Amino acid sequence: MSEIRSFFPERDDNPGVAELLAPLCHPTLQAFEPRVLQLFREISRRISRSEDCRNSPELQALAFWLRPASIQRWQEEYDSLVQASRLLLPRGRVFHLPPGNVPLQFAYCWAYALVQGNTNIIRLSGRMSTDTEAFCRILREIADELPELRVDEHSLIIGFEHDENLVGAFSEASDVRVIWGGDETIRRIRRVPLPPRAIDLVFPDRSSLCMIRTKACMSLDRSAFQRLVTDFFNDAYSFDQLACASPRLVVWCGKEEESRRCAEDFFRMLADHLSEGEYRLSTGSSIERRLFATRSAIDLPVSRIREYSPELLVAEIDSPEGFRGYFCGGGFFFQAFLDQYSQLGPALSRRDQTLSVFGFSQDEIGAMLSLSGSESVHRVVPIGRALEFGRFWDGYDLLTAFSRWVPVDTGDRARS
Amino acid sequence: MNEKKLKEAFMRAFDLSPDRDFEALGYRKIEAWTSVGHMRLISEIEEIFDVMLDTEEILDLSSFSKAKEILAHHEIDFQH
Amino acid sequence: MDLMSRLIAMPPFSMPQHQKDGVMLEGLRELCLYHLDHCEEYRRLGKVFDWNPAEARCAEDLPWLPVGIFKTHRLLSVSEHEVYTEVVSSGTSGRRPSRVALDRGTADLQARALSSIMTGVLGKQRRPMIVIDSESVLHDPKSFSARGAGVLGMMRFGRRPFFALDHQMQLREKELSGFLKEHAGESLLIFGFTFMVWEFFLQAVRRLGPDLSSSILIHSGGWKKLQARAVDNADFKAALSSAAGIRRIYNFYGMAEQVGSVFLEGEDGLLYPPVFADVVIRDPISWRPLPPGKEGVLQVLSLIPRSYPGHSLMTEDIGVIESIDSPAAGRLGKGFRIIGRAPESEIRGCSDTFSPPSGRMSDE
Repeated sequence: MSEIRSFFPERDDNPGVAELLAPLCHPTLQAFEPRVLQLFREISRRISRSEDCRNSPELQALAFWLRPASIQRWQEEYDSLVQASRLLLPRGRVFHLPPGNVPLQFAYCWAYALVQGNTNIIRLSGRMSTDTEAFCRILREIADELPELRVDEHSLIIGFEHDENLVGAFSEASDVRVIWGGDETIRRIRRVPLPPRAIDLVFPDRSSLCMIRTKACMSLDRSAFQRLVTDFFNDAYSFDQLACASPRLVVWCGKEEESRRCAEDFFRMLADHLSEGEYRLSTGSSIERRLFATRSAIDLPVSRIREYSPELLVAEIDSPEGFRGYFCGGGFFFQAFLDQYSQLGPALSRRDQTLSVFGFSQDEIGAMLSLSGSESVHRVVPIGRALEFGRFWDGYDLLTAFSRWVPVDTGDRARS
Repeated sequence: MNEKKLKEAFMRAFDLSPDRDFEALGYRKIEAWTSVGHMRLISEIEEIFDVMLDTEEILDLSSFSKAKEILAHHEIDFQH
Repeated sequence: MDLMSRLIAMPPFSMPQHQKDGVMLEGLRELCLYHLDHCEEYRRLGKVFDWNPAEARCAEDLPWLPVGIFKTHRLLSVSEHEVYTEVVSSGTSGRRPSRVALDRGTADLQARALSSIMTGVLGKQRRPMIVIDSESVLHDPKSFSARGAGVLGMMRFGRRPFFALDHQMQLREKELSGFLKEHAGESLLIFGFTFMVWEFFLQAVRRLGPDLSSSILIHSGGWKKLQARAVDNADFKAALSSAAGIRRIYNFYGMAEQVGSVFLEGEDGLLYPPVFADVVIRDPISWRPLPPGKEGVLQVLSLIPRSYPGHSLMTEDIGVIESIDSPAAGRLGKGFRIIGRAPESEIRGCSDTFSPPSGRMSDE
């Protein structure tokens, strides 16, 4: 078996599976335990005040998300679900297998699982990012300075190279397994058995798109239009356009001629915004993107590819499909024109994650998605909020996904 | 009093000195007030005043005076 | 005589840059139009990216393809039955190799081009040859690896080739010693990949101590592995000179994807394109050409590829042009240096829980 490194708690004695799991036996942890809420508060505050973490948008976003006001909102929502006749109880131990190349992704699911009263094993893989290192360091600091929080009783962060035996050993000790990754990765891990009463939550790769109603866009005054462009910029460029929720297809709905004019203004303004230099394309991404553009031009029904600025390539495709799968990021957009928004429905797939929209009512989008049946997106947000990680993700309610529903009916009321 | 606390939140979030012209601060108008800096500012304000801002308020809070206006809705008084 | 035959007949580094600019523009434009006519995918790209080679005012205005396209696409400007051989790059594990198809005409041009470049330093004489490789690298006659093709191509400039490594890539020291004794005092041609020369040949001559002062060493393959050991070109030359007196040492840079582009080191240690090829350095973000002295991505141009559209390629290497028509080099044209591979993009999709620990595999 390969060697296991333990990042939290830190140990360098080459521990075995049983030793690592030993401190993690805390079946009486409850939902929203004060010591867990205090831990979140400490993490949030330490990240947002730390000099080292200041320049990392990923860490700052996590700090923001774990801030007390945000957790308080979770608690309100959670409490509203629970009644005397219908409890939520922890599932037990959660084994997280986050993606190797999206730093900090694990922290969000960890927080949801922990706040519901579960203990956690997080297995990291690949290169340790500086953000992940900072997170583990902060966790260690808190555990040292505030031993009363007993962090190591509910959280274990380890790393090992691919080894089905180890995945199996930890799976065997788990009640929920959370798997992120490409289709192949998820297939491989799911072949490793879980105990009979355990469940898998899976988060396969997905891709995202955005839809704009031309008329609504054209009726904006200049500053509102600019704000829409900036919102789109934040959605698209924050993670090099490589998060699952980053839009890579822009669909315009309306009279084609008007849509083309509007799209032109939109991307020109985006190019202006990009020229301010807030986003920097790396050499590697630039090369990768050029190669992707070339391959797309040959393999997909792309009619033309325009370069609005070095950071912005727009490829017009005949239909709003073909944008899924491997992607280069770095400011590459597919663009399609539709007369009617309802035409998008049949083109959607369960491989699509986030549809960010501008200019549509809830009812319109709702009707379109209902007609798509099982083949449609997993979330709809306004442009500008595509990257906000939330309670409902890829079809799961993460606020309850790590809990069991326990109806409690004692017959008491019926008799009295 | 509350004005001083609000200044404190801005100073912490953006590393500002106390003699700064706070009324002139605006979202994306100073280098530190990026979308990332904004999250820090919200956390600081919420902590200092022990309030919980909703999404609309978070989006609206784009200047020092706007912050006072929003906090006034949470019964935080800037008149005295 | 047609243009290519005229160029190949010239001494390989004899054309001043201003004249070459004109030759490259004319020749490459003709090739662009040719491939637009003959290669379906290239024509599609021309339409999608709105290429107008007819309007180019300099070679830098002409379109280029990213070199990686040959890993996934087989681009052909001849019909399938005209394909005479394929060149396959030596992709390391985990990477797809590149493939390009040659017809007889392009293969012939490539051979003549290489010959023109090599006779520039070797003369017409064919020396006894030591290949720092294993003979097994040649065994796959239908589809060569770039390494095999390189060795085979060079073997035509030597005679009585001796392979210094066995099938397990171990040094045949006893046989090498015999070969060196037999040819003592003669001028030899020694050829191999840079790293293997350092790893195997240098160690052997340090032990055997032959006098190779009249011999010529030609090597290629990149400095990545030696950079990791902090060995640069100067260290490399000094070590071989002190171990065996070898002074005529030439590095060259080339790639499987652009046949015939062999950029041979001059006396000043810089690499030089031959008359039928050229290089451009571009900014990696705007892709605009950069002036001498500025580092950027290396674009390679060659008039040779006709069976496939490989005449203008963007490599994934970073380089810099140090001089143009420098009198010190005794060569005309652009003198350039390779700095290394461009940093790879970090793909951050929500995938690959099991990506390899370093995240990337190295290329030879």
